[in-house]
Amino acid sequence: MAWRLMRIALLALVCQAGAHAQSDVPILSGGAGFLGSTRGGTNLFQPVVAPVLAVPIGDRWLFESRADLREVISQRAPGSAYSTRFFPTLEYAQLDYNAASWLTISVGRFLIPFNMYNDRFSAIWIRNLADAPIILPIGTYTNGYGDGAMLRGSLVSTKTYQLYYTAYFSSLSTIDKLESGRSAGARAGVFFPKIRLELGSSYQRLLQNQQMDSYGAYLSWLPYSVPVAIRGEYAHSPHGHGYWLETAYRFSRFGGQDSLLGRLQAVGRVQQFFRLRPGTGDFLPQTDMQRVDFGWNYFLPHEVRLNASYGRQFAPTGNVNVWDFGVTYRFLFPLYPGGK
Amino acid sequence: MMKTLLAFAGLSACLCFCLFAAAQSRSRPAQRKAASSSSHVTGEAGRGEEVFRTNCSRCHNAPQELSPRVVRAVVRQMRVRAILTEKDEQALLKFLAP
Repeated sequence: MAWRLMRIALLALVCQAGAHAQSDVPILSGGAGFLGSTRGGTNLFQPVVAPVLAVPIGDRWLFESRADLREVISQRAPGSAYSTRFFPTLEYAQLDYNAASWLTISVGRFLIPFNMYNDRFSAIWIRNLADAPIILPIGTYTNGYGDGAMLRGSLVSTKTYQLYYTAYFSSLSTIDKLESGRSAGARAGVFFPKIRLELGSSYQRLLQNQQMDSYGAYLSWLPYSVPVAIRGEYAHSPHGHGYWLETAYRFSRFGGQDSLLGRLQAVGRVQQFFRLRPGTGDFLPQTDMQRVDFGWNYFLPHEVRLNASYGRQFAPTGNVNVWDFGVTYRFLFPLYPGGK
Repeated sequence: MMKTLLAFAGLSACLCFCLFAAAQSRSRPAQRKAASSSSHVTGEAGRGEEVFRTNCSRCHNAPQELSPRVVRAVVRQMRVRAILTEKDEQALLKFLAP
């Protein structure tokens, strides 16, 4: 029933957008891919499609949504038979109203804006390494998605720095495919455009059952003179805390981004997690954990990307090798043809 | 032991990248200035190019192709996601769909 209502609402939105202005053409973008992983000898394969719909309505309104449709083909243990399961997830479906530069109001389902990974780097065609950081569940309780309202905006924007904020409230939802936890949180950051350095911090208060506070900090630096991206996050919750630090170097100095070597990107990431309190259902490792990853991305023409990485995970329960490989395709086209 | 060595190697690599990047930024301001002044894009579109270079790359690589028909919707969505100001949005539109 929820899906049917959503389909009808989407159709109405698309029609409305089309009737308003020919130039405000709704778009369907997103990514598709095939991801493979071997963790301690156990294989996992995932064909994924993640469509993103954006429907501008008038000058100030926008409806946007992203789904994640994946088939998980996995083994329970090395050498055992494969089982398959389909996971459809509605990651966000929100209506945005641009009231002013300092205020955009979003209502609906959204990605919880804690630190920067969840709402900025989680898409399969954006992330540099296939696996998400260990600390991702901290601050994004309960499942990374919120149902409610979010405010965001740019408080100050000058040539030397930009100050921005995000604040949200999510209600508890047990509706199938729209599950979310009751929580509230905020994020504030400063971006220095001249050196492309960004610093920020986040806070979340979980407002159900066990009430708890999580907080974090993040950093991103992309110097203009070198094609390197340095990103990192720290997150803390009563259950545990940890950090990750990632660097990515694109070999574009060797003949430009479209040269044979310029399409190659090397990625490295280190991360550590420290368990502070035993807990189940928090999606965090049950023990301390360290992990080192190193991988390669190769950007082929037509938005196709190949990636492969090797990681070594250390934990008191046992150390394992993690091999990831995949191919992703990023697509973007207007929802209907014709017009200018 | 192995764990410590790998963690140390990883952190050292990150640190080296940071130091290398910092050294490069200091030693190449003249080149950067020359590159920006050699651009033929001026005015609002020039500012749009700056917004594109500065903000879009914070999260993702630039799309290899961008049809003029989809630009408005893409920019509108990025205004929300990248928290762009109204001025930035207009400049970006001028640059991507002149």
